[in-house]
Amino acid sequence: MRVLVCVKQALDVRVALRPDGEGRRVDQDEPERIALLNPADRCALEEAMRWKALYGGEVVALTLGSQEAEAVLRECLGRGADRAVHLVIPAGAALDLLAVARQIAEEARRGSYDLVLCGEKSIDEGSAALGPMLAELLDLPQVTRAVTLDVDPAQRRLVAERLLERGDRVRVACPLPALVSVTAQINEPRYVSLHNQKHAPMGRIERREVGMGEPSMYRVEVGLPKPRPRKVAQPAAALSAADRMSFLFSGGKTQKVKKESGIFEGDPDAAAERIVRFLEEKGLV
Amino acid sequence: MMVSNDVWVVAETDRDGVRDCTLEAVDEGRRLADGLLGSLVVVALGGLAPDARLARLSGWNIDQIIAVEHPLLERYTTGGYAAALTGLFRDRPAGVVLMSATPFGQDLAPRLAARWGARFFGDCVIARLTAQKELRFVQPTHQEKIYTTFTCPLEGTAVATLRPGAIGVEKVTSPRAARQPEIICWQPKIEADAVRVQVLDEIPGDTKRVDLATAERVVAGGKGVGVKENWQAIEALADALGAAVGGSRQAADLGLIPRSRMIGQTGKSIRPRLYVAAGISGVYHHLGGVNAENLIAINTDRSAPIFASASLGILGDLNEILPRVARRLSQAPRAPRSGSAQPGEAGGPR
Repeated sequence: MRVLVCVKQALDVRVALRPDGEGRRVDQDEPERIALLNPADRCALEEAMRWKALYGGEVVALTLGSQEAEAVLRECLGRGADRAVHLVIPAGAALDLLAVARQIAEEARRGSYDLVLCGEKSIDEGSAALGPMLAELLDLPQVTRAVTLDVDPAQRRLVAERLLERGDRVRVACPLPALVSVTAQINEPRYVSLHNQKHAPMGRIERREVGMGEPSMYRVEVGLPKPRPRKVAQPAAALSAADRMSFLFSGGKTQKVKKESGIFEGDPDAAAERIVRFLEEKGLV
Repeated sequence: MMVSNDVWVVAETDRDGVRDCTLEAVDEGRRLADGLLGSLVVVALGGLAPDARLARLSGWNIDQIIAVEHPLLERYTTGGYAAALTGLFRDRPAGVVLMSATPFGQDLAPRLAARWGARFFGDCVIARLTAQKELRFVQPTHQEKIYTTFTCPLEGTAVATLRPGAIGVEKVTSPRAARQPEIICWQPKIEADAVRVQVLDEIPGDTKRVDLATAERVVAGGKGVGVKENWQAIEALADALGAAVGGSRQAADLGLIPRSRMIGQTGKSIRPRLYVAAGISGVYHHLGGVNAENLIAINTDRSAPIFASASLGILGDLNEILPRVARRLSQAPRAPRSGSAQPGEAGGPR
C-alpha cells in the first residue's frame, strides 16, 4: 500500500505571540523562531506507519514550505517514513490555500497513492481546508475529522469514524484510493529518540522548486484580538477586605449580580420548583 | 466583477430545525447582500418536505429560500451535497457563499471552493464589504492569540465558513422583515456514483463527557457534595439536562472527578449557557474560569461568594434538591405533583 502523508511546519503557538510592527507577520516572544511538525500531521504519519507495518508498502511524507520546513521532513524520516518530498517555495511567499492544494495535488498525481493522509487542521493558521481541497483536485472520496481508521487493502476499502459536534460520531466507509484528514485524537505518536531523529537518512528528501504566482487573496493584517470588556463579579459583602480585593484583581469574569435575584430559601420541593421554573423562563428545557 | 451579486447561506439543520449558526450567517449575509446590491438566498438541502425544518427562518430578512430536495440528500454526504450545490451554482451562480465552520461546513465548503475555483476563507468571525469595495474576512488563528484579516477583490466567487457563536444569535442586529421570503423548490440531478462515502451508522456522544470548554450546559459539584455516593445527584441532573459534568478543585482533590474535568483558573475555562454549581462556594480561583450566561448556585452556606455571581441562588442541600429537579425534568410533560415527595423536610442551612 502506498500512502502519502501531507505535513506542515507550524509555528509553535504555545509561547507568547505578537504581531510584528507593521502587522504583517506573527512573531514569537523568543530569541529564535520555534517551529514544529503540526501535531495532527504527526498523528497522520503515525497512522500511515501503522498500516505500513501491517500491509507493507511505502510511506511518503510531503511538505510545501520554505527552506526551513525541511526540518519537519527530517522528523518524518526519523519517524520511519520511507522518503520525503519537499516542494520549496521562496521564503515569505504569499500563500493562497487553493494554489497550495493545486501544487500538492500535482505532486500527489505522480505517485498513484492508495491513501492520502493529512492532519485535520494546523495549530497556527489552520482553516481545515487542505484535505477537502486536495480530495476534490485529485477526485478522491474524502473523510475529514477521522478519530478512528481501519484500512483493508485487500477489499480496497476503509472504514473510519468522523468526529462531529458534542462528541457525536458517524461511522463511514469508502473505497480506496481516498483522502482522510485525521484529528490529533486518532493515536498517540510513538516516541522517537533524538538520536534516531538526528540520524534519519537525509538523502531521501527530494526537493522541487515551485512558484506560487500571484495570490488571489491578500493577508492584510495580523493583530491581537480585541479585548472584550471585562465583566467583574461583585464580591460578596461577607468576604474579608483582603478576599474582596483579590477577587477583583483576579478578574472573575462572571456577570455582575442581577439585582432582582435574591437567594431563594425554602423546602427542597419548592427549591426544585424554582429551579425548573428558572430553566423554563430561560428556555433551557 | 463577481459572477453574481447574490449571497448564499447554506443552511444547517438539526432536529429542532435551522440551527443558530445558520441564523448568524444569515445576519452576516444580509449585510453583504445589501452592500453588493444583491439578494440573500438561503439554500436548504435535505430529503423531501423541508417546510417544517425551515420554520425558524420566517421573520428573517431573506429574499429567497431555495429548498433543494432529493432522496440522496436525506443524510449528509460530501459527494451528494457537493453535487447538488454545484448543480444549483451552475444554474444561478453566487458571489459569496457562507456556511458555518461546523464539521458539516468545514467538510463541504473547501471542497466546493476547489470545485468552483473560488476563493476560500475558513473559520471567520467577521465577513464584511469594505468601503473600498473589497471583501474582508477576519479569522482567529494561532489558537486565537492572533486575528488575521484577509481581503480579496470583488471577482469570481468567495466561499467562507463562519465560526458558530462568533456573533451570537441573540445579539443579531439586522432588521427583521415582516415579508415572507419566496420559497423555491429545486430538484437536483445527482448521479448515484457521486456519493462515494457511505454512512454506516451514527454514534451519539455521551453528553456528560463532552469538552467542558465548548459545552453549552455544565453541571458541577464541589466539596458540598461530600462523599462519592452523593455524586449521583450531579450525574442525574446532568443526564436530565444533557449537560457536561465538571467540578471544583475540592471535588478533584476528593477524587470525585478527574483532574481533566476541573473548572477554574487552573482547570478548564468554561463559557456555557447554563452553569449549575452545586456545593461550590465559588472562590475567585473557581469563578475566574467561569463565564456563564445563566448560573444557578446551590449551597447551604448563605455567605458563599458564588451567590454574588448567581442568576439564581438557592439556599439548601443539593442532595435533596438536585434529585427532585432531575425527576421533574425527566417527567415531561410535567405531571401534577404526586404524593411521593416527603413534605416538610428541613432543607435550610445547618
